[in-house]
Amino acid sequence: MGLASNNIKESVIEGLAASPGVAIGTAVVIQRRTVQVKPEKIDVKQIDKELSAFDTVRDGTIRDLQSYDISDSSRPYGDATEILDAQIEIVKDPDLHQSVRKFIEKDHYKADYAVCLAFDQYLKVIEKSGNQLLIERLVDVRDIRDRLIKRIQRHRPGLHLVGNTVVVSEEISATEVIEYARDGVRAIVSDRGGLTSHAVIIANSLGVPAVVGTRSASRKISTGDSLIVDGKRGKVYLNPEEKTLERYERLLSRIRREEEEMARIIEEPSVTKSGESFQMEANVEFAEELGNVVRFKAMGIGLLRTEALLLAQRDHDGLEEIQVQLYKKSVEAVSKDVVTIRLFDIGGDKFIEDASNEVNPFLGWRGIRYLLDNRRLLDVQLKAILETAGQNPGRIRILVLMVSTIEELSQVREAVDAVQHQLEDEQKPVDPDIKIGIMLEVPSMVLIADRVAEYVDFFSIGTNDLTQYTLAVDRGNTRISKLYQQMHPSLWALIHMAAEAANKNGIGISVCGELAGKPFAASCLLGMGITELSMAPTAIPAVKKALVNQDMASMQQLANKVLEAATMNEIQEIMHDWEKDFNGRE
Amino acid sequence: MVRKKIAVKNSSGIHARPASKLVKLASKFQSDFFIYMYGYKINGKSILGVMTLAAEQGAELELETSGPDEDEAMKAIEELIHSGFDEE
Repeated sequence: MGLASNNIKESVIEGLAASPGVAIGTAVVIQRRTVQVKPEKIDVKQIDKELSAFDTVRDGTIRDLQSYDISDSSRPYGDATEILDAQIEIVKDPDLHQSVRKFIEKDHYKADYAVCLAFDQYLKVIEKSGNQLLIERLVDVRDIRDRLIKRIQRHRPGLHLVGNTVVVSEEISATEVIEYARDGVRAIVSDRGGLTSHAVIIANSLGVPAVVGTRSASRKISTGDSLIVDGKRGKVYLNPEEKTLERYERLLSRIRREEEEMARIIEEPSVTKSGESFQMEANVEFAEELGNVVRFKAMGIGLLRTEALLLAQRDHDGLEEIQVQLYKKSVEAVSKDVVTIRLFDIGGDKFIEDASNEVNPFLGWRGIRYLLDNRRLLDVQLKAILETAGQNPGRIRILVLMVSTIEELSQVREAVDAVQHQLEDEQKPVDPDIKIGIMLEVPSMVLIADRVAEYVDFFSIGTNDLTQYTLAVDRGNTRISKLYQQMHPSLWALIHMAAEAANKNGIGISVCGELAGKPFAASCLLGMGITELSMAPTAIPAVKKALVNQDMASMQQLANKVLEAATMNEIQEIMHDWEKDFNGRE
Repeated sequence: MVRKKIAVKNSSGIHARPASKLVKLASKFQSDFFIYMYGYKINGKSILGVMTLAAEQGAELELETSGPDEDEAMKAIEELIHSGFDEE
């Protein structure tokens, strides 16, 4: 980087941190050359030629935009596809088409001028509307106009960029970002635009670092300048000093190493060293997390928490609607895998007015106990779940929580059947084999797990609550927080019992608590025969890395060790030995 | 011909993406689809037309479908607007 010489001083241009990531590269400043059109009239004999020129350009532009397949990038979830769809819809607009034809046929204008006139009719109205959001997005409409005009005038579309290009522009459109990403541009700097612009949404979903709102960057920076773009901090370093460069090169190579390792692990099949397969699933609460479910290649959603919906929407109609939205999106995010939906976790520490004021809320009116007493609410949830399940048979399971007696389970079954019949009466599709399972979190159910197994299709161990109910420790009480140990020997004993009961009865078993997301604990769980683990999506790579690097025999040995331990100290020792051994082998 | 009044529900109004969804849905039906708003009338199958409405949250729209599948079209369009365009 010869540019970092003594006579050129480093300067920092501040903007908005629009899309995270770091890039070191060379600037290419894009001058947004306004397209030139002249009100040229044509001879009547040329009308057909101009009309077909427009049709050809229109079809070609639609084809081009449709070929920008951004749906299977590494971060496909989000709005990028919808934005591109809207762009395509503009080119396809039937009224626009008619209007262009009219300007050619009746007014005898050339196709490029006709396009300009046709777009201007709409642009003027929207500009005058005062609707800021729409006005901000007109950049995308003008982009389509200019694209059509340039193509009619036979401009060669696209830039030819080489190497580590950072695009610097006064303003940038959504479609341009897609094209730049395709051409391998390392980062984008734009003087205008806010964090909600379509261009920024696309940059994020395609993983292109971007800083926007820099105001004067396109004037301060010249093509060929050396640049560092820090999309996380919203900073652009112009002609960076050696020291800054070194710092960012180190950062960049660290990010690359981590990303490479993660990407490699994510792509690997989920199989132990000795060939047994296991399943990494995701715990999810909000639609925004679904992007990570796809990114970390979770094989299903092992726990979809639903109680946050209660805070968002209390009236029953609205509640049904937002549930269906979340359920549908979740099913879509895991393409062919299963989504396990947990019923509303009401009560306990989750505030619901009429369940409050209890002396012992965690031992009180919580989960299924509350729902069976408030059948309307249970039915609203079951309806949303079963409707989605009917449209996606075999892809949805119901998880019932806070079950402490088998009788409660029978009541849930009845409620499910009733709603299924109601859906059938409404001629809606149902999934006749809908699977119902329970969260094992009350010790009573684990102690008779072999019998409970006959009443359910699967177990899911919620280690967080199972710990507090087994050890009689309130998690929120700081005076006794040291006693809250998810790896207490008694917990391992209970987990082992549950695994034996499930495997003996041939029903599924998974763990969805904190334990599943820890490499050591996950290895023990696999050793006990639990091959389905659900965790925060970001925990998947580390856990998977541990599991693919061990054989089943050594994990079974590990499980046996923790099952023989009597004290927490012994467990800690086993864990430290394992960590030393595991990290040493790397 | 079917006519119905409906208010825009989603907080960001009918900007580009909702307009695109609306137009795509309406275009699946054979029936013509028009939207009336504060004296304007636009073709509901034209995204640019829909955008010129600049309809914000709470805006009152009058929908009109006419053609062989006017009832189905109205029902589907109503549902989409009512759902807030699956936003949020």
